[in-house]
Amino acid sequence: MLFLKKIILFSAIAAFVLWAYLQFAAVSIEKVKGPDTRTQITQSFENALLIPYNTVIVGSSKAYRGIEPDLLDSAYNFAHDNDIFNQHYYKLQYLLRHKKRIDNIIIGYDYFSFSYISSSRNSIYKNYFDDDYLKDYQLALADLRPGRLDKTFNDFMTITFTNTFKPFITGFFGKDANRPQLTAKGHYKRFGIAADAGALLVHDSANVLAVQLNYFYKLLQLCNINNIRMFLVMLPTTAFENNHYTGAEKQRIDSIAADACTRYTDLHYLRYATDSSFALTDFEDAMHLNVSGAAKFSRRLKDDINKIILKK
Amino acid sequence: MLFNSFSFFIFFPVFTIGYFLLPFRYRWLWLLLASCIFYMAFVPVYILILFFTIIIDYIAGIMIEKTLKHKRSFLIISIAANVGVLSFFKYFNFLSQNLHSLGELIGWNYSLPALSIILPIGLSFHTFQAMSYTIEVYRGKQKAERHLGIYALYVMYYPQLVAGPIERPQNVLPQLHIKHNFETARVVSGLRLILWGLFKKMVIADNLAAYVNPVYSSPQRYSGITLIIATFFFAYQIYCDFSGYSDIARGCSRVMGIELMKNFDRPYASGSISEFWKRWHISLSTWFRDYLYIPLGGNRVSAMHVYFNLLLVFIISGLWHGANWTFVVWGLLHGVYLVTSLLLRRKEKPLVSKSLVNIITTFLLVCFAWIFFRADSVTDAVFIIKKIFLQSGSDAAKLLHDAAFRINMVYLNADRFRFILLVELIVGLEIIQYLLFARSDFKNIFVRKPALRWAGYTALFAAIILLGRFGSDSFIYFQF
Repeated sequence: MLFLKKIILFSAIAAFVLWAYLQFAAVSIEKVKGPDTRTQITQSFENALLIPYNTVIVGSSKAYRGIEPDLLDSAYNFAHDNDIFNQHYYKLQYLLRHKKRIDNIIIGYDYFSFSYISSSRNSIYKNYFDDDYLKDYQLALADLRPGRLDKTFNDFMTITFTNTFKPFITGFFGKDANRPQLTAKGHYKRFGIAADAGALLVHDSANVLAVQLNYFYKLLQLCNINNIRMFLVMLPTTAFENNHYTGAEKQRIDSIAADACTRYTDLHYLRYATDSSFALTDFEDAMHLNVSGAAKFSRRLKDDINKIILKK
Repeated sequence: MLFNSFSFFIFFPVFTIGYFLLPFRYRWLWLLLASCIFYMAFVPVYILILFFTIIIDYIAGIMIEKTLKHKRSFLIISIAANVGVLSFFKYFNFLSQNLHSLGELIGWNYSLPALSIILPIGLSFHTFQAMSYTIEVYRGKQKAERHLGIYALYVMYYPQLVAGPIERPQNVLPQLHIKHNFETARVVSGLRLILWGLFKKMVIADNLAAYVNPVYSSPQRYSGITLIIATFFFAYQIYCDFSGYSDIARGCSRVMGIELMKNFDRPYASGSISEFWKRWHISLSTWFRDYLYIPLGGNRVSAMHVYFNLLLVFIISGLWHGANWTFVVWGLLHGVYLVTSLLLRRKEKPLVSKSLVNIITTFLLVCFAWIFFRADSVTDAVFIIKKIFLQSGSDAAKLLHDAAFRINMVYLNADRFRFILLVELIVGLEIIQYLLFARSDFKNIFVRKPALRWAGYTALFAAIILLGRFGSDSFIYFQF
């Protein structure tokens, strides 16, 4: 019994130390890494209803960092890291449910746009989305395999603790002027330059999951019903990202977009993936535009969208 | 299943609690089941190899004891089965490649197909442990085990199954026959050892690996100074990785009441190479001493014979680690170090004083040999050595005056924080080891003051959570 008491006491002390770290570290980490994920998403959902706009941007981390809504006409960036078509769909549904009037939607489109289903933000998203959202995340038996459990645990520990320790210490001694910032209109600004980033890695795959393809068409259908003009935008890529996928994979993703354009007349596919006017200095790493790259791209996007609208 | 995985975090308490709750007569079965699950988490089908050698050695043990006339034949059958399995899985491709190269040299068109198989994890460890059983039975120092389940458990006992310590039957088998009750002091001591092992592995070894691996993967990209730092870091990486594993293994086993032998004893505090081998991977070095060096004649033969035996034993020890010439050269180097120290000792005053100079010299010699151990090929190792010796002088000047060089070549892309952390961890480790294991007065303070002891546990736990690397590669010695 004494042993059991000691184990419980030690567990309680350890839990308290970790809890105290997480509370105390959050303030310090913000000074170096900018707002944490929960703050980003919460602010994003709050401002999505408060700020007036008629163009909404949805997409993954590439759109989240790469499109500056202040440089477009009346736009709001509602994208977020790891977002994919099921999240885009429920985000638009959320806005429509709250009587938000949307005229245009810019949908970030990537080679990896159909390749995964992300649950990493579900603890926050479940507070905003329909109950149906979580139906796609029913716990599968495969998720309980030791290897999968190990990976989930390791990812959690790495994100929550290991990766926060250095910014915690650095933030303790001062603020980083170049830390990421989230603007009121939802643009996540990052300042690095890919050339200085060391190893430039691309991890994603170009698989096409049926569930995401289904949500892609559901999203387009939802826009169509609500008379929302759609712009499917593939943002500029670095050579590292472009070379990461095979020709056949890229062709397949393009053909899905082309096929959708034939189905919906108000859908426009804007492809900047191989645009040579974007250099490595416009990126913060192998995949994402930095602040200046985002500004450069957003001006270009605005012009191209306006041309399409005028033409119509 | 890795000791530093979430699966083991669930596996260990479940099987340990079950072990203490079960009646004694079922405990061997419970532990055997746990060991099978533990091993099958890697490549399930390879458990059949274990079963094969277990059956052969079990029967051989009994037959050796029963028959006087054929006991040697049964020993040979047992050793042949173990060495055969080891050779097939570990050395077939190595032998084939070298025969092919030799054939090309002499104009003989030789080709054997390469086997595309994964090496069974921990093969060298459990085959050596199995062999020590039949040899000891043959020598009459150990009674043959009649209980097949207990014998299987001796070979498969999960804490030491895949990376040792390579146990002797005299130590483990009797413990498997005894009922071990739950004793708080012993269990706490085991848990403490697990915590310390996890700290060494996840905080020190895995963080050092993040520095060492890229440097040794492409040494051409790095300066002589970087290669020196990476080599020193590797010395501590492999020590913390392997001794961390051994500590966790001993800790898990101690919780269940089965004491495993100590495998490391502050090896980098050794004042000579021979002392190093009394402190490094003790279970393997004593195995080679007892089953190879002494049967070859030990120290009772002529000096020349002793030198030859030493070189032979260390070359085989190198080969035991892996089927690669890098390991052979590593073993040979240690053999040469020992022979040289014997030669010097015969002519001059014995180097018995353990001064700081001796410790540093020994450490440098060990680090030099580690270059071969860690490099991907002998060519890479030679390249690294050349670069270290030819380029480090000019690098040293740059180190002082060129900030960009410091950032690129020492901090590896501006990560000064990580570099300083690594140095602090190594220095901290040596200080803690010195105070805890060499200074009993310091240890007593922890025994007397529970608050200090608990603060130490909490600090270790917090360090593992905050600084540890989760999801790193497996333990280095698993590949052997």
